[in-house]
Amino acid sequence: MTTRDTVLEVDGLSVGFGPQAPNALPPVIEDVSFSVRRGEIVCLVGESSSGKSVTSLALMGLLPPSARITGEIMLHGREAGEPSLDLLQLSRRARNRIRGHRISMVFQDPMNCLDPIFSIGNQLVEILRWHNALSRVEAWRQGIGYLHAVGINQPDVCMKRMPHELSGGMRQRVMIAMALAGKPELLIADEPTTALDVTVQAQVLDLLLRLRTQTGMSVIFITHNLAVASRIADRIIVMYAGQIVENSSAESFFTRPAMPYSRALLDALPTVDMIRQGQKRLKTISGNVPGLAERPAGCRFFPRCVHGVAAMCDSGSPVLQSAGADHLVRCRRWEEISA
Amino acid sequence: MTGFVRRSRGLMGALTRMVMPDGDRVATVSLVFVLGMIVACTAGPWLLPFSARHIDLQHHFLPPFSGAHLLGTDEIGRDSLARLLMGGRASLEVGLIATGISATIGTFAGILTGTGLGGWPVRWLLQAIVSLTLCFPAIFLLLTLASIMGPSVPTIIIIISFVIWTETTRVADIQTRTLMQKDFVTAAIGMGATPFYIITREILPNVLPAVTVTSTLNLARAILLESYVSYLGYGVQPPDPSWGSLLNNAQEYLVSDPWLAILPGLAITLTVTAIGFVGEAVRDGLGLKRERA
Amino acid sequence: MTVQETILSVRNLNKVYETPAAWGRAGTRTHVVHDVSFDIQRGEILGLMGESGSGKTTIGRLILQLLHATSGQVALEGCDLCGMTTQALRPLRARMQMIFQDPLFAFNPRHTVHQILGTPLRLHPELVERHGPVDEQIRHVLSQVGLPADVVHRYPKAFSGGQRQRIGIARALIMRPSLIVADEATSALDVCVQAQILNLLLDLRDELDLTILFIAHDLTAMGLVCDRVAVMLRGRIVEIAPTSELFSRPRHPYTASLLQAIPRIGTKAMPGVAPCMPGKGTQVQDGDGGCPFRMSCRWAVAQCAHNGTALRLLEKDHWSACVREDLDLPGL
Repeated sequence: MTTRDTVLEVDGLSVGFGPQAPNALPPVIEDVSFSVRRGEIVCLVGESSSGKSVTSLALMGLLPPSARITGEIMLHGREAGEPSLDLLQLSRRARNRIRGHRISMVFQDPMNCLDPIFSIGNQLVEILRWHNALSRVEAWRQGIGYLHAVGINQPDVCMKRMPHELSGGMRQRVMIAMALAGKPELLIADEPTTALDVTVQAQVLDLLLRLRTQTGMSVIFITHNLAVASRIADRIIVMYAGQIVENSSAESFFTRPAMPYSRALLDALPTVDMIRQGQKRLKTISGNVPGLAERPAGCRFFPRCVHGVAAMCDSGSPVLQSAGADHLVRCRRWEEISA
Repeated sequence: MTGFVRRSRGLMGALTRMVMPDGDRVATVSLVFVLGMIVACTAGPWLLPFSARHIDLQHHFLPPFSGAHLLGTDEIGRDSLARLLMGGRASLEVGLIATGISATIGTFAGILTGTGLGGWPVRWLLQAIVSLTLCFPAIFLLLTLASIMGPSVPTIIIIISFVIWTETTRVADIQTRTLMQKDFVTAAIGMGATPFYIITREILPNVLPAVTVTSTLNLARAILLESYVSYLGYGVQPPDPSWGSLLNNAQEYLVSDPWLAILPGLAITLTVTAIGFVGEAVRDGLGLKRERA
Repeated sequence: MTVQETILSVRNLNKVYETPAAWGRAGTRTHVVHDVSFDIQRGEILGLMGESGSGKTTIGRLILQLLHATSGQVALEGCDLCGMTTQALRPLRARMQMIFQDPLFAFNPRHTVHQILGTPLRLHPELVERHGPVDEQIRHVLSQVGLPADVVHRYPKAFSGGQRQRIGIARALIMRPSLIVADEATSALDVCVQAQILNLLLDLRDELDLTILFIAHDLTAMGLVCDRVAVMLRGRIVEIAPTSELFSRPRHPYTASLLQAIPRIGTKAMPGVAPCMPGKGTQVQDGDGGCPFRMSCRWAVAQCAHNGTALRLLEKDHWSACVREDLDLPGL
């Protein structure tokens, strides 16, 4: 029964680059496992080089052929009888059919993804006709409908515009409309609001929430900002140095973050309360995310962790353990720390 | 992303990688060939038993690998190898000096227009010259100038420089414009740096890699141009040989004694091709983009 | 409080870009910065907040004389910079420095840290006379920004984003400027690193009595570090007030809408969506004398079409351009 309300199950996904063994570099992401339920918004949170973008590219099958990928990415069918597909085992052709159709992606910078020499309508019609057998007129009509759905006023005017004539927020809406054109079950959004102004960012987040309710699609939302994540997430997955370090329902995460790194991320964010109280200094953690070659043997966060205990944390990679209902954490000391 | 195997950057890094065992094979072979050719042409003629003007009356039209003359002799009994190396000396000399001159002028002009320092008169003038030279087919321009100025080695150097400097200017101009948009140039202006300081310390070092690559490719072009001109009789004058004039000389005996043409032809082809490969390897090594297909 | 000393005074600053009419096409006039005036006191951090295209970066560059103002005055410690020649300006440039958004592009990739930090001292030899030898000053400034002294022989590429930004701050500090313009100095950094850099700026301000113009689009970071915040919209300052005032009792509807849009932990968004217009439909024409926000404003009245560009003092230090002084807008 669980398979049916799960869209995507990632199991033991590892991705490595560079030379083959014996002088291979350690994998960029390691043993990443999580699942996405139907209609769920999952936020993948992490700093740069945490592996969040590599994870999303692996899901889309957009990694370069030289990447060494192991593990399983199961895409489950909507209906009970539909077979489940392991995306990593599919041929390139079968993969292309799924991409854009069952899984779509929205990128950070919409200007790079729109063709500057074709009008919005042109590009949207092309995508619609790629996915469905439609006449040009019918595709144009549907395109207007999609633009309307992403909250664009006067969609017929917008269809005739060129990409450079639109504002950043408008472009991102157009990108989302294009991603929706294949009626995907899963939308992967890689930092879609980072390049946008705050007011526009709020609008795009609201839009994603509304589309989720209307179409029942699932969303994997990648961001480095927990405040943005808290605005839309049902589930938070925190990544650090290539591993998932916390995976929890949003509610549980924001009331009781268990991983010291997650707490550090939350502390590093200027909050409204701090501004109200005129508090100036943020709590920070020292150091940087370790590079690929510098990852420590034990808990990867140990060198920067204020709660770290040498004998306990510096050897043997800790495993994800349960820290309450629907709450996994990769820390051996979470109970003591939470107390 | 740090942590990956760090590779040395810059020109020296690019050259080092070429001679490394795991480097680009074609580039390695090419580099060795070009260097070998330069050394052979510079030092070779002194080491040979015959000078390029020595006439062996008994042996003319000697085929290669027969007797005392390693690569045979020509129609009046001069040693082919000696003439090939002396010819190479002339060709490479013209090529290298012309490339050096055009690189210097081209970089200077490109930076001048790229920074907009001279104002519109300078830009307008340079653009006019560049467009004019680009409009003319290089070889006709070359021949016209050569017939006006009269053939000699210095003349041909000047003429070739004049034909190829525009390419360097174009590259330097584009690079400079891109650099002028960079924050570090803004920062230098904001620190109170003079234009001279900005050009010498911030712009020039960052323009040089691209100019180096263009110059390598220009060198191949210069050698080829010299051969054209000398082949047509407007370049290096007899009895001094150059690869082009050797070819010119050989065309009368093409049917009876083809090696006289094959040898300089091979020398030109291999050298130009090898320089091209080295240039491309340097460009890839410096991480510069291919400017046109 | 000691007597306040005005470090920077900006008066009626304007920047207009014009393209002349040609080939039968009408010329365009883009007013990027519109009658902007403000002061910064010594030791103060003034935030200049605006969305993309609001002209905040242009103001930073106009102050630093990296762009020429169309009209207006920029006075640094009482001396007007706008009318100066390039040569006359050069020695004064040491007194105002900039920190850039992307610290990777802010450095010449072929220079080591030693060269990067040594450059300002080479350009201004009087700094060496006054404050000691180059190596000593570099060591000192590196310790101020929390970097070890042995980084001097490395190239910018070898550093992480946060470390690079520290080098950027060090380069500005080594000239001991009266004013630092930080243009989106923390926007490109990761959350944790951003927090470190914000703390560093605050520490340095306390330690060295720095005066900083903090240009950003991130209101939360601004609320934390700034003493006063100016909000910009389409080239104009629409509200300027002490930070706590501005955040708790905004007087301009635009400021209020920005505050509402701040993503914050524990508030889930409601799935209702504001419409978005294509193209230039919502743009208010330049120079019509009306409030630039009136098209999107819930509280707009007829008066807004002619009024609402000039700042008015509402209460102590709180200036707003909104004609509806009666509004009680929600703050944070």
